[in-house]
Amino acid sequence: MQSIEAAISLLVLLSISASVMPLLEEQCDIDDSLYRVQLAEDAWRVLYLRGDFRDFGEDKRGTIEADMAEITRQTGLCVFMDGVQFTSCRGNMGTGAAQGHEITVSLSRTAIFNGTPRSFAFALGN
Amino acid sequence: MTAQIRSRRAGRGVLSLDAMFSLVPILVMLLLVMEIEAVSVKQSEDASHRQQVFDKLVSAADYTVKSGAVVREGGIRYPNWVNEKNITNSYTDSLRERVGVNSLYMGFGEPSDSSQICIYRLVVVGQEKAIKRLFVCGG
Repeated sequence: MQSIEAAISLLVLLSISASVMPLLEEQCDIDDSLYRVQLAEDAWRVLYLRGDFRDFGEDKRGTIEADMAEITRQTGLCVFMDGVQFTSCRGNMGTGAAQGHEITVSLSRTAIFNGTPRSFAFALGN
Repeated sequence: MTAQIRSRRAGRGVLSLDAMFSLVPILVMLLLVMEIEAVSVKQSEDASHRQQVFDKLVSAADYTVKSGAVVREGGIRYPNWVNEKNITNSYTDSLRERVGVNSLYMGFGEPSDSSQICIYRLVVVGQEKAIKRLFVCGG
C-alpha cells in the first residue's frame, strides 16, 4: 500500500515538473508593435519621397509596384495597398490586395487616385 | 520488560525511517520550487533587459530617421531621407550615451555581430533617393 502511495507521489511530482519546465524554457517575445507601425510608416514615406504619389493613378502601377517590390526584396515583407489593388506580392489575389497573406500592420491612408480622393489600407505582411 | 523496551526502540526506528522518507520528497519539492523560482526570475530579468534595449534602439532609430540624420534644405527637414554624412562615429557615440546602451551600431550594412539586438528602418539615400535599410543595433 505504501509503495503504491509512494509511486503515486512520485508520478505527481514528475508530472508537475514535466508541465512546469517547458513553460520556463519559453522565451518571452519582444513587443515590437510600435516598431512595426514605424516600419509601415517608413514604407509609405519612402514611396512618397520617391514621387510615387505624384499623379497617383493606374498609370503609375508599374513604377509603384517596382518600388514596393524593392522594399519586399530588402525586408522580406509584402506591401499592399488594399482598395487600389497595388501589391508587391501578387499571388492569391482575390477581392483584396492582401488576400491570402498575413497582415502584420495596416495603416489607413487617403490619396488622390486618378484625380479622386481615395481611402485605402496601406499594409505590410508576409 | 526488556522485550517491551526493544519494541519501543524498534518502533522509534520505524518512525524515524518513515519521517525520513516523507522528508525526502518534501525537500525535493522545495528544491524544485526554489529552482523554478530562480529560473523564472532570471528569465524575467533577461526579457525585461532585452525589451528595454529594443525600445531604446527603436527610439534612437526613430530620432535618426526623423531628425538626427535627415536631409535639410532651406530649413526644411525631410524625414526618412537620410544624409549618409550625418551618420558619423561622433553622432553614434553621442546617441549611445543619450539612449543609455553599452554599444550602438548605425549603418547601411548588415552587422556581422549576431549577439546584438538589431532593427532596421527604411529610408531613401542620395539625390537618386535609393531605397535602403538603416540598421540600428545595440546591446
